[in-house]
Amino acid sequence: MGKYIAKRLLSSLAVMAIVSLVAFAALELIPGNAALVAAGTEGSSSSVASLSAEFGLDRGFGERLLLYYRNFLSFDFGISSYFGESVSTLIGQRLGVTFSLAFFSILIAFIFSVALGSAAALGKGKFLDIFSRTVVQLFSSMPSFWLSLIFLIIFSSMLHLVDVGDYVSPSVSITGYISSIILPVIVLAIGETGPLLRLVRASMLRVKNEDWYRIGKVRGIPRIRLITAYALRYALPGPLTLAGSELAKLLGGTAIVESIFALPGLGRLFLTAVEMRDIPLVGGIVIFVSFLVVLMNLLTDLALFFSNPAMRKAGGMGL
Amino acid sequence: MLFSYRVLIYSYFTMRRVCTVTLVIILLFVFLISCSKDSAADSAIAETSPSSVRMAVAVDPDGLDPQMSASASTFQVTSNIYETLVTVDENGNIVPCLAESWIIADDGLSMTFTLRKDAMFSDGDACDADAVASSFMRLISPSSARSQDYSFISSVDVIDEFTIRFMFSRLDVTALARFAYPWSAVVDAAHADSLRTKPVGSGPYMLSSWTPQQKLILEKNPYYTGKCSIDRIEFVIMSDMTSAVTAMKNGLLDIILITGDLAELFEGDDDFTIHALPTNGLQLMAMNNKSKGLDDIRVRMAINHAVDKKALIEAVWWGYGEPIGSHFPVVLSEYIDMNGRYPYDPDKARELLAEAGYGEGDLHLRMFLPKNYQEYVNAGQVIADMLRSVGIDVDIQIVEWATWLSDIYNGRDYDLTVVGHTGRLDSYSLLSRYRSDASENYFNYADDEMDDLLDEYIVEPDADKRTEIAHRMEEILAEDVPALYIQDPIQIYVTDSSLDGFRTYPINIFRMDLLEYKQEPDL
Repeated sequence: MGKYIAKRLLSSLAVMAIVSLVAFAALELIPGNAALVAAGTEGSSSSVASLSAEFGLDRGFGERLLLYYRNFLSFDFGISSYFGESVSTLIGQRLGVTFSLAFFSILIAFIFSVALGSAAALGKGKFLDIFSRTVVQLFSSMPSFWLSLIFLIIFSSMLHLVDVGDYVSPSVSITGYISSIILPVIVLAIGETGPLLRLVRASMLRVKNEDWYRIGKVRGIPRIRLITAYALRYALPGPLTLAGSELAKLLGGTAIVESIFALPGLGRLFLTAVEMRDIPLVGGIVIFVSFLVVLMNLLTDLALFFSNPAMRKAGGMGL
Repeated sequence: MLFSYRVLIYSYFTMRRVCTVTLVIILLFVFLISCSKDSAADSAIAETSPSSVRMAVAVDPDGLDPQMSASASTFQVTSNIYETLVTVDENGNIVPCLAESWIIADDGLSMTFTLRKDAMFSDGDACDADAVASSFMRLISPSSARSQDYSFISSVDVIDEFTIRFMFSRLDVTALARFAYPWSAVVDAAHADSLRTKPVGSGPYMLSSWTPQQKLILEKNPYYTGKCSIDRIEFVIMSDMTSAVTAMKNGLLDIILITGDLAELFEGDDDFTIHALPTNGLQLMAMNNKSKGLDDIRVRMAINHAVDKKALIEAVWWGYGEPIGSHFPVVLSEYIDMNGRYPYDPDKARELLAEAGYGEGDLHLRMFLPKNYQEYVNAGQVIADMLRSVGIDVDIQIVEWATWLSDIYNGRDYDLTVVGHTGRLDSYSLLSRYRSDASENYFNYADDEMDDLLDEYIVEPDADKRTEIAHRMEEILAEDVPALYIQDPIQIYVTDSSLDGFRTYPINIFRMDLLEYKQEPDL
């Protein structure tokens, strides 16, 4: 087991190195650089040259690439050329928002999907099944930017229930924190519920046709116990894997929703970094996010490993 | 570690435990988030004290070192942190700031400033002649981004503690104005390397905290002795206009900048004041005067005849804008109205195109529009439609801003593009980009008379003669039309109606120290 984790972590280092190289090369290949952006259309010709020197862009490609990797090895991601602030500080400021949005929206989507999805499967073709599928389908086909704006107008503009534009850390005020993230969390959760619910429903339908399920029913095991103790346990690995990879995806940023709700999240930072050709910042975020993705995948695998007795007994996953 | 996973997963399947475990995870999570590094910005939870002003801005400053930046979003903040030697009033007149008086030598080759005696940096250091000299030495050094703009300064001499003299290597009648632009601000050179995140200036405010993409907070500079009634300024970074308007309507903001279509949301509401103010700036569709077709003046004239500017301004800016016929903002004193030169006349446009040898659909032009500026993208699309209706084939490509800067603005590989420029205080600085050898001349425009007039303007001591030269330059551009000059934009600010003293200026400065509340605002 320990060997497996070590192997996974090592291979993830290679993944991170490659991903950051691709990010660097991509920014090199596309037109424009940080000095041109800083000089804009109102600077003079001397601006571009001196700003290039300031941002280290006057050095050769190889030298800059070496510097880029040396920074990562020393855990110093350098200074953002656009904001002038250190990259690790910028990323650090965003963890609260990004983790909150990703974690709570997946949590809500998962609980909701499991409850509604199994109910729908058990009563296949009945009202709840059709109703929940229609409503979820309807909501999850709405684009998140549109849903965000509608929520904003209804809950903030018309009902004055929540305030926009002020992320409040829970250490300052729990109610302020909830009010600042609740709308984006719901918008993201709605988007995640669609695929999760369908998967839970499909898995539960499969369970219903299993022999052991019918036998359990015939033997008179209470329905609730049959579902929670046996059926769900059998049906959940699929949805759990999906939830894990969706969580990783959300940790990588939710730029549109963050922009609309004026939240300082990782996605919006990344978008700006690319637009402004801020190589140190892009590199830092890419390394950080790819680390999170690798970590989430590892945790999902471990969760599956421990939840599935068959895998556990066999030593698991062909290790 | 492993054991806890086992517990976690197993307990999934008993409903009671599901609840407990979820609760524990959430609590743990919230605890972690609270402990995670958060900036001082969160202390800002809506403790709206009577003398605080919150303003929504769309983008962050690109660092807070005014000498290192060229962006309006930076100067809007830094003009409250730093002071310039002189500044401007809302009409563009030069008024004292850090310098209380100045003398220009008769030959125009030196300028002596007498500084205010009580000026101090926000770290308590004196902002005296020595400090001003070090700041300007930094500005004019070869490694400075603005070295070229100030290359006429040959030496900076400290006469006494509060007197400083600048010697010029050549006559430049626009020199005084150059000491008013926000990038000439006096910075504490002792902190030169950290000014981008830890600014130190002698202005009315100092930086309290800045969380990029969230909030930038200014507090009063304790050493500032001038009048300044608002204690705390919050710039809230909101890139989405809908959320900014919602927040404004809910009373969470005091100042926002809006687009014309949103003005009606605030009209007739006593809680808000709408300021629709002309700006010192202009928007245009640049043409590459060296590309095939556009090198023929008849084609450029045809394009000018083909565009209905009134309809364009109505469609894109909801009518908030003043049409122009030359590269000159309406608000400057040397402005002359050149709108009549090539009026909207599609038939005339077709005629001119035929004369130049282009029949229906013969002329193909590539139009590049900067994605980050929705108004320019919209304007380009409307213009393209108007050009197509006179038989010009326009191919639109929307490019990202950095790409636009590299390929279009600096690389000059384009036919048409729509963009805006900020104004200057004098005609020379405004029009010098039309000099045939200027690096900012992305029009590829070349005209000998224009080059000569620019040279004459900068050494002409007589103001009336300078005005004459400026008028002639405006005429030449209106005649040659290296671009389609669209409009001088009108900016619409909405402010809390209890806020007094809101003004805009002909250069990129924003004076928060002049704001005050009429009475105690409702809490």
